[in-house]
Amino acid sequence: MRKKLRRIFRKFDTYQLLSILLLIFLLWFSIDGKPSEVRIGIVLPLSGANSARAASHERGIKLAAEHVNKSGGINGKKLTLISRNNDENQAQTAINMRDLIYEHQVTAVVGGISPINSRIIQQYCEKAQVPFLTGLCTHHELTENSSDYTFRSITDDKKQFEAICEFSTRRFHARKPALIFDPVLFGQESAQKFIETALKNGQQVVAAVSYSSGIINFRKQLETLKATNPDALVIIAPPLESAMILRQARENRFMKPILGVNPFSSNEFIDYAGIYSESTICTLPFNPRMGGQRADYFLSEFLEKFGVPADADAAMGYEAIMLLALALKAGEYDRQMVRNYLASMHGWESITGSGGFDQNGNQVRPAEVAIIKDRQKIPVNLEELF
Amino acid sequence: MTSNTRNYSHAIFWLTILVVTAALFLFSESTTAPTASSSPTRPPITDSTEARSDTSVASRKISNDGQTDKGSIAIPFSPMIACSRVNDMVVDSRGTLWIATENGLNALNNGEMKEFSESKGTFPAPQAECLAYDGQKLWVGTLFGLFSMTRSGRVEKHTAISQPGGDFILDLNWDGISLWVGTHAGVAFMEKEDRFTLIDQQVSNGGLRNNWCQNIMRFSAWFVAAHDNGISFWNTGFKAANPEFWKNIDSGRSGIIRPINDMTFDGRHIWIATSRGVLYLTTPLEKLFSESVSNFVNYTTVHGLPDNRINAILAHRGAVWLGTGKGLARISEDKIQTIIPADGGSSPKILALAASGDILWLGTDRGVQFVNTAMVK
Repeated sequence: MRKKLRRIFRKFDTYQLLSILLLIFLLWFSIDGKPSEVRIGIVLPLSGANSARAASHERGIKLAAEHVNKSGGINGKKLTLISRNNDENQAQTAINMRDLIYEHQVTAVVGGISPINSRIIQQYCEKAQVPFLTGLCTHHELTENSSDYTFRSITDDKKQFEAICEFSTRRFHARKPALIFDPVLFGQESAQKFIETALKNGQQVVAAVSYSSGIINFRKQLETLKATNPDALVIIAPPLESAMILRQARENRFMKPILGVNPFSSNEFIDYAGIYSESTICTLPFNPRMGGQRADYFLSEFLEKFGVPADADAAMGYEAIMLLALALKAGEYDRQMVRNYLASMHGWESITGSGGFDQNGNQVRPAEVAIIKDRQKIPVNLEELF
Repeated sequence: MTSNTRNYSHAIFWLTILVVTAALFLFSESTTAPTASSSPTRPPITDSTEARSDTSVASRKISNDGQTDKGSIAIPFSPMIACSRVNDMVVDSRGTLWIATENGLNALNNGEMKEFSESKGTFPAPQAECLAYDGQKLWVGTLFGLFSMTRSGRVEKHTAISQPGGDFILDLNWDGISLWVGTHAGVAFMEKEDRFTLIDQQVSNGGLRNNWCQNIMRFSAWFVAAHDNGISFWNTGFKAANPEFWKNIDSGRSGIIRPINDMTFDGRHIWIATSRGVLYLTTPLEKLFSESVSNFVNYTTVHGLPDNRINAILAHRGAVWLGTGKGLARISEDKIQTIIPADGGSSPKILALAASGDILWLGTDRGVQFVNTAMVK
């Protein structure tokens, strides 16, 4: 064996052997042991009741990642998305989070729609010290529980309630609104928060009712609300349920103003509600006019790539990844440094306009109110132009 | 050397050069992102935070600022014994401190730290979540299943709940007879060797309001589970399938802040550690079923706590000890005291507490240390 090796080496000149050794040496030291990509975990309900919103959000995320990678990636490393469907199921969310954090070693996580699944994501991120950024979950508790690693780029429901209460008082002189709320997406705590906000605004919520998940007939709830003679109706529910409640309220001859929050501004709501959506008031999570040229560029790119117009959920997904990309570039892929950079982002300009995180990691941007006219969401400050 | 051999050696040489160069090229390609060719590269977001100073970063930075409150007591803290972020701790009958960390399991005995980790091949999971000691075996709950460890160091895997989410062991409780296991799929208790009985929303006919049981506790006739809907109490003298023997305190109605980080029972009352202070249930347990409204008292920084984030809580020697994001505190006879290091050092971020005699072990994000509780009057 040794003789054989000696015979092989004799066939080479010294310079050839030295060159090979040099090249191997160079190859060895060019490997820095670090992964060649930066991984972001995405946890969304891509099937189930909120799948349409989740799919739109994911498209925005994918477009953002594509733009980041086209412009050089994260300090030369490719931004890789690892997407997981939680099927709006608690156990599945936990399984996804375990997989992303301990198997794939993601640097940050984006996602969450329903409060409970967002809280599960938050729990695992807090424990493993992984930054978590949500662009969809608006539940106020998420950034009010002293978490260190949670950030929210969408305006929370507290600010949406403030905007709706203030507007309904100013425009309709509504003093006695009634509330119908979804038990899963908003829950008792959100209803309580709305009642407190209304009270601060000088309003008295005359009735607050919920319903069982999955029902399609809301007449019983509407009858209860009508019996209290409210001067406005506020619906805080997912788009489809909001549209059904609105239709049934109008069919039941409820002619007072009807107001809603972010789900009212979704295309899904307007499609289902049809003509009944006319003149309803909502909060607007994404106003392309606020984002200027950036928003125009995003909208055209999105339409070209996916063949459908971008909605607010897509815009929030795009914004979330762009914010994370900034933090990743500054944070050198270290979870703690990325988190600290996000925490320092008190002001930015993005496709959704100006924004920033407060000391709790919550979006500081106030909610914008819009009126639906001819299936278009018109910001109320521009209403007279239309 | 013949010309044939010469050619052969040249061919091998250039082939090697080619292979190594190709390897170098491929590797550099994988670390460098492709440059934009024709597509527009206008950055959709401009970073208006570029000009910020480093001081702004500290606004929400995790810090360990020391306490200087008037109501604080300075006592010696032992030096920090370094390990990964601590999730739970338990002291066994031999005086060994077992530490569940984000990196596996650690054992501290006579100042010597022994590490069991997946990377070393000495522990079967990447992290450990919770611990219980039954007098014979150490039970280790992980996000990858339930394990037991004998004195000889033999590790065995157990299945408490076979449903999805059942292998996420979030809390363990040894009540002197049975092992109780809190998971994402409900609770299980061990009846006989390795035989577990499941209690979830379905089995309890809605008595247990949520299957995500993050914290569990068992004392006298009561079983308590903290979950995402609030807290469920079960009178274990009766069948779990009868929802009449469950009492639920709903977080939405009672104002309990989620998540509930820890719970303890001081012999009369239940104390709950949350991210917005500590809650104590003034309604005595025996009156829980007869009184329709449960009353809580909430202690926060307003009342003298060093931080609102309470990560760990432990009733020990007539006082309730709190591990907070900014150090240690004690509640005794309705008085809150902050315990600070006598050497003027910073208060640690405490994540877990365990007691052994007068010694109170503090599990932090950087390691473990202890204080002598006899020094606190």
